[in-house]
Parts: sequence; C-alpha cells; structure tokens
Amino acid sequence: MLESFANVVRNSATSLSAVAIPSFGTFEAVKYDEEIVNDRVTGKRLLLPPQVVVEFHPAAMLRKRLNKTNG
Amino acid sequence: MDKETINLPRLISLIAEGASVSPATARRFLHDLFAYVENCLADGETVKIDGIGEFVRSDDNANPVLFKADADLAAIANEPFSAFSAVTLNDDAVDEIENYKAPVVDNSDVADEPVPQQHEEVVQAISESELYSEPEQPGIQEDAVKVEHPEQSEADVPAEEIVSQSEEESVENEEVDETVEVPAAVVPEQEVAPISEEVIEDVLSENEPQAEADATPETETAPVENEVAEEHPEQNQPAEQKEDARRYAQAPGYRKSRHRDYSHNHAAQSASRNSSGHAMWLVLGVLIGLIIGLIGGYFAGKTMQAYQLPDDDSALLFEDTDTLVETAPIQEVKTDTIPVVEHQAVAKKEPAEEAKESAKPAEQAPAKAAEPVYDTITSSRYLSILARDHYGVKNYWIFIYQANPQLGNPNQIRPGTKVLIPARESFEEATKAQTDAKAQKLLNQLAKKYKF
Repeated sequence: MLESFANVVRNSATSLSAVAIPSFGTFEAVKYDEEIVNDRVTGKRLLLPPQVVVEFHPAAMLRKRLNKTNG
Repeated sequence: MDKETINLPRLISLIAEGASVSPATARRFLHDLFAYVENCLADGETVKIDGIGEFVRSDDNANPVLFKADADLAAIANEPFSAFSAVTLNDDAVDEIENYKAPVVDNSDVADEPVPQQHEEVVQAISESELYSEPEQPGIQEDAVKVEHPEQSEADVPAEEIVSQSEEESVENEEVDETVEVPAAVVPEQEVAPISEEVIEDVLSENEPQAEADATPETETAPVENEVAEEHPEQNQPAEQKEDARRYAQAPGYRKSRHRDYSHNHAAQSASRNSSGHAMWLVLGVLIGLIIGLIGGYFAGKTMQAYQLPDDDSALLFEDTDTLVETAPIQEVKTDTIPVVEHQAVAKKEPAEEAKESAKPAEQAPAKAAEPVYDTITSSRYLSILARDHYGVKNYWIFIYQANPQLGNPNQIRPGTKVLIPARESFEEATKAQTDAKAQKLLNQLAKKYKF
C-alpha cells in the first residue's frame, strides 16, 4: 500500500499535479525556471537550469497542532 | 497550465486499485500513516518514507515541517530537465556583452543565425543524454514492476539492502557494458557522460563547501577519460562532439545573446515608459491650464460686462467732455480779454451768443423729450439692469416691458433685442411709494401670467 501511495505521488509529480491530503498537507510538483545566481563563496555567477521539485506544503491544521505542541 | 489536484477520495481509490485492497483499508492506512507521521513530528523526530521523502521538524512556526523528496522521486520529477546542469558564467561574459552592444549591426541577423546551431546542439545533447540514460532505465522499470506486484515490494526491507541491491545492479550493468562489444557510435556516449557528471560535481563543490570531499572522484575520473581517449585515439569525431558538448555546457554565445536582447528590451521599455509618462503629464498640464483659463476668462468677461457703462451714458460723458474742452478756451479768452475795446467787442457779441445759446437748449429740450430712447438687451444687460441704469430702480423694468409689447415672456428675451425705454414721466405717480406699488402690482400680474 505504501508503494502504491508512492506510485501515485510519483505519477502526480511527473504530470506536475498535486496530491492533497486533508488536515495533513499537499505534495506538489513545482517547476522553477532557469535563473542566474551569485555564488557567495566563489563570487561567480551560476546559470541554474530549470527544474521540477517535489514540495510538501503542510496544512493549516497540521501547522497549528505542531506549533501547539512546540509551545 | 491548470494544476490537477488529486483529492482524498481519488487518492484512496488509486491506492486501493494499485494495492488491490478495499477502499476502507486504504483509507485506514492513509489515516494511520499520517497520524503516525504527525505524532513523530510532534515529538520532534524525523520521519523518512521510502519512495516519498523525509519529513523534518523545524523551529519555524510558519513552516514547521521541512520536506526533502526521495532521490528517486526527485529524479523522476525532474526527468524532463535532467539533461541540463548548472553552468558557471565567466566574468568576462558580462564585459563581452557590454562591449558587444556598440558594434551591433543588424539585430535580425545576429538573433537568427546562432539559434539553429544552438538548437542542434541542444538536440544532440538531449539525444546523447537519452542514449546514456538507457542503462539506468532498467532500474526504473524494475521499480515499476515491483509496484505492480506489491507482494514483492521492499517496503519492509531496510534501506541498506536496497542500496546494496542497486549497487549490485549498477555493477552488473557496468559489467554488461564492458562485455558487450562497443561499436564506434556508442563510444561518444560513454565519453560525454563523465563530462556532465564532472560539471555537476564542480557546481556542487562550488555551491557546498562540504562537497570538497568529492574532489577525489574528479581526479579519478579525469585519468579515466584520458585513458579512454588514449585507447581510442583514432576516433577524432567523438572528440569534436565532446568539445561541442562542452561548448554547449558553457553556452556563452547563447546566454550572451539572450541577455543582450533582454537588456535592450528593458532599456527600451523603461525609455518608452518614461516618455509616455512625461507626455501624459504634459497633456494633463495643458488641459488643466486650458480649463482654468476658460473658466477665468468667462467670469472675467461676465464681471466686465456687468460693470460696463451703458453706451448712451458713455456717449453722453464723451459729449460732455467735448463741450467742456470746447468751452474752456472761450472762458479763458473771456478772462484774458483785458483791453476795453476788445471787451466791448466781446460784449457786443455776447448777447447774440447768449441768445443763440439760450435758444439752443430750448430747441434741444423738446427734441430730447420727443426723441424716444432705445436700448439693447444683452446677455448681461437685461430688463432689470436697464431699469436700474435708466431709472435707478430695478423693479421699474416692468414699465419698460409694458412699453414693449412685442417682448412676450420676460424671461425669454433674446440678446440683441432693441427695446424702447419710456420716459419716466409716462409711468411715474405722484410719489415714489405709489410708483413702487404700481410696479409691484404689475409684476404680480405678470408673474401670474408667466408663472415665475
């Protein structure tokens, strides 16, 4: 079952869609365009390619509960 | 592009289909799984789910959960852009761009020519990367097969075992590659692959100081390349392709042209914005000035007309001044005529002149009395103003109105209408109060007639 869940998330990531789990959060594939950044260490400029990143956005309920336990 | 969101019922059905279990079981599984994850996070623990990623508790209240996707998941999600890697831009590139702006000859030629070449390079690089990534695909397919047969899934297997298995698979793949006779066309694939890895490692080592430990693999891979190049010295074509790939990886011309175009566009846009803004303010200023001028001019003209003297009065005034000017020298002559003879002569003349002068007013007076007085109504001189000017009382306009029966409605007299001003004696009563009462009575009648 865990594998099938991972498969669903994987398929949604390839199709740039999201998987929403109520009161927990959303798994979402986000595409970032290419950008030029300055490396703070070397001072050189880097051209980062476009990329798709799987992100997780915690739901408001989860945030509230975790912050409550955090005090 | 609208993002499709898989909601809970659909997720449950998908899991139930994938794992061939009932939806209720899938629902309970999801509930238990995320409740467990939440409890672990609440305790400050880190939770790692194979195939999904790692949940880490953070102290940030705005984002208390940090998620790092599993390597496989990240690789699959980023598969369309896996051929690209971060590129270090030369410092000279900026100078070259700035120097390149001056000798711009024809933008269309510059913009059109390099693009097809770069496109070909991109196509080559992608095809090479696809060819290279073929040995990795069996691993992914195996994963897919594992998913299709959940009874063989390795969810319960420790991560070390998975890693060891994958290592074994990769070793097997390498062995297969070594044993298979390599055709000439396949060799460049093997040569290009380490380059992309090198670039990635370089970028990683520059980005993360902790990746300095990876410097040794770079030194190890470099001799391997040399060895491969030495083993196949006769193949010059792959070497050229390798240089092309490096050129593409650096891609200075492509980046330069894009940045140059962007800077030009940006400058043009900002200039046009500034010019349009200035023009807008200029037009606004001119419009406001015109409006203020028109309003001021209108009121100034109105007040000037309201306080303008009537034409007859001004004519009279000018006549008086003329007579004064004419008579003044005569009086002076009178006073200056000291000699007796002359005085006598003047005295002889005087009675005749006096008689003439006395006769003149006598003639003028009846003429003036007989002459009807006319005045013209303008937009600022209407009946009441005429009455004030001629009689000193505004309400006496009713007598002017009565003397001009052609006027009709007194509120709708057109400017330029010539009206007869009746003599004061024609309507004046014995006392002013009686005249006022008469005027008021007539006014009331007229107000009833025209309802004003």
